[in-house]
Amino acid sequence: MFSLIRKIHNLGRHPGRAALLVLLMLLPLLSACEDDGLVEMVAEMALEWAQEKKLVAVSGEGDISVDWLQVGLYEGQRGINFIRGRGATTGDETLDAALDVAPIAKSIRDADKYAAEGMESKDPAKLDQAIKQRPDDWSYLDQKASILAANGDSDGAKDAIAESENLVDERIANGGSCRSLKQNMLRGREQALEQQLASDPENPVLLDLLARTRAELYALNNNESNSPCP
Amino acid sequence: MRGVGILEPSAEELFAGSKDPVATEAVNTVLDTAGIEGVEAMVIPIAGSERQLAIFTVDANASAGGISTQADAEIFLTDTLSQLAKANRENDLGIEHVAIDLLGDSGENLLVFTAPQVIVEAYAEGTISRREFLSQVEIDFSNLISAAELRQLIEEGS
Repeated sequence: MFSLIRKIHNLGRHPGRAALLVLLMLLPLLSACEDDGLVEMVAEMALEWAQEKKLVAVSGEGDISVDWLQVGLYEGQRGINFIRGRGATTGDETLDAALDVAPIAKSIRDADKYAAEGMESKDPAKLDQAIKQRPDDWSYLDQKASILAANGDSDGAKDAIAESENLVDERIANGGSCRSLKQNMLRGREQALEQQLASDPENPVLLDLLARTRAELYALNNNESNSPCP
Repeated sequence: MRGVGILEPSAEELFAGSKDPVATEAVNTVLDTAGIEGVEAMVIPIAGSERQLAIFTVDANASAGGISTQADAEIFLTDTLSQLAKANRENDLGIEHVAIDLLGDSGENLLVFTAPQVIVEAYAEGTISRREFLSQVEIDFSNLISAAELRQLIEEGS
């Protein structure tokens, strides 16, 4: 990757910062796979996007020039919004937040790693690390419940499930979809219990929790009278 | 205050919940079927709404087999986006927004692309041009600026 940086950096008649923007638009895409048409196309799209925003101009000869005033204004607007506690500039609050999604995705990947280790070793402390990383994410509580159940701690498992349900109920109370969120929670719990049962198929605590989870899912999916989402 | 943009919810608030396991699996199945490697999808509920966000994390070695030209690539991309749109509709996955999280060699974020799903679908179905599509995409490249400037400093210092 560093040789490619040097290559792009030394390319043009605009060394220094101008070359940086060329690099900025193309580096991650070109370095991902130089001969891949898909990646080249995405690089092209990023450059077209920058032209649309008037951040760069491309001459008839293919030379790229940078409008640093526009780049500064664009980044400055993001800085102002950051001070306001926002992430970006679109006026659509979900799209604005989505622009800041990279640390969220990394946090999920990190927490998933802890959770996978915990599920494999049946170590609830690993799940506590995942929960600490993503405290409002109920899936780690359900995975912790499955480990506690696998270890014979029925009360601990029920407590973890109750915490998971509280998080989901809170989100439903704040405008989330009851059906979608309950399905999300129950399917995740079912998968976690199934994973633990694979190595301990006769465990009575796991079997009991799995039967209850499936009964709730059935009631939800078939609009039974005992469905959690009437 | 929310109306003037001072107290809009942060990404941490909006995307704090658990991945939707069914929607996440459905989207990853589309990627696998298309032969895409190095891209992982996750679908997350958006707090305070009934809709969801699909995040595609693209690592530095991402690839799709059998593509040799940009014309191939565009057909491939729009076909894959059409399949994702179809999965979203037919399985009622509730995906309303899409984000692409592009990683560098060390796993650091370099760029984030975002777009409303309706715009992605319109591009995939050919009802809007690539230019119209791009005019409604947003890209955050601030991490890349930082990374590039840092590397320039390293090079200048060596």
